[in-house]
Amino acid sequence: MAASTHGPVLFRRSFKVVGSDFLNAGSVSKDIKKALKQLNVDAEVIWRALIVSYEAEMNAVLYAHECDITLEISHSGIHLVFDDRGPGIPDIALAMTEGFSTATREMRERGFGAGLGLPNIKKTSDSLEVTSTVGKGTRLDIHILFPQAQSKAA
Amino acid sequence: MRLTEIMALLNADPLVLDDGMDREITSVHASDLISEVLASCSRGALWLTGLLDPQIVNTAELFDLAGVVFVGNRKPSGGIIALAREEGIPILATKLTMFETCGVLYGKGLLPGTRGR
Ligand SMILES: Nc1ncnc2c1ncn2[C@@H]1O[C@H](COP(=O)(O)OP(=O)(O)OP(=O)(O)O)[C@@H](O)[C@H]1O
Ligand SMILES: [Mg+2]
Repeated sequence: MAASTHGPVLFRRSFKVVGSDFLNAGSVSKDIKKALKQLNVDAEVIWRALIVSYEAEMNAVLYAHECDITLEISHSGIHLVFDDRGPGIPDIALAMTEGFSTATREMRERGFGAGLGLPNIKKTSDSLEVTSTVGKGTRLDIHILFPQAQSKAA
Repeated sequence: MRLTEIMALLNADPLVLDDGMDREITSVHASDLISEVLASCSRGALWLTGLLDPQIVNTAELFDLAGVVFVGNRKPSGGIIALAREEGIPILATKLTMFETCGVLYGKGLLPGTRGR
């Protein structure tokens, strides 16, 4: 895949999100922000990584039972994987459509349900792969390239 | 435009002030849906909302937004105010409706963010 990160992993961290835990919602993205800042990652790249991680983290909180998250950084970019146990997504193409949402009233009252999370992840990343099994769970595999790696790949 | 000027224009109560009050507001976003703001905002943006949820403050902090204005005479809980203080996110509250707030700021030349459009 042209838009995937490559080369040795220089930094790796795992996180866990528990479904419906609104008290801690967003804390994984906050930790990712801290880590990327410490590693002196470019501010624009941090911004993009945070859009991706926040949208994916909130989907895990809203829809999944639990989710394992891994952050890997190489010279070429950031690799994020969100692997959840949950209901899965029956129609991925539909879920990727702007405005499509199954958010409940309660979720909407918390500010979710625009149906823009997955489309935001797609637009903001260099590559997004969604795989899902109904009744089992959903996996997002996401790459964000550093600007210099991107120009080399082009 | 700076947050202090916006406070005066909206006749807003400063519920949480911060040393960021002098920062220049780059764009304004009016929405009660978080993803809608994230789809077009950038750092330094001001968020107008009627939604009283701590997640608003968390999101504003995560994405380096300039501040949050609660519209429509809504009163955020002590928990939201405490969180904003802890995170250093300025919070204003205005009696103006969302429509009026947008009208005032748009009339003064402030614009929405265009990232991703
Ligand atoms: N991890 C997941 N597990 C199960 N279903 C999911 C998952 N992520 C997304 N979905 C489904 O895909 C739909 C679209 O997701 P998307 O993030 O784009 O929008 P949303 O979460 O409904 O609203 P927003 O993200 O704008 O607040 C969701 O409403 C939900 O039905
Ligand atoms: Mg979502």
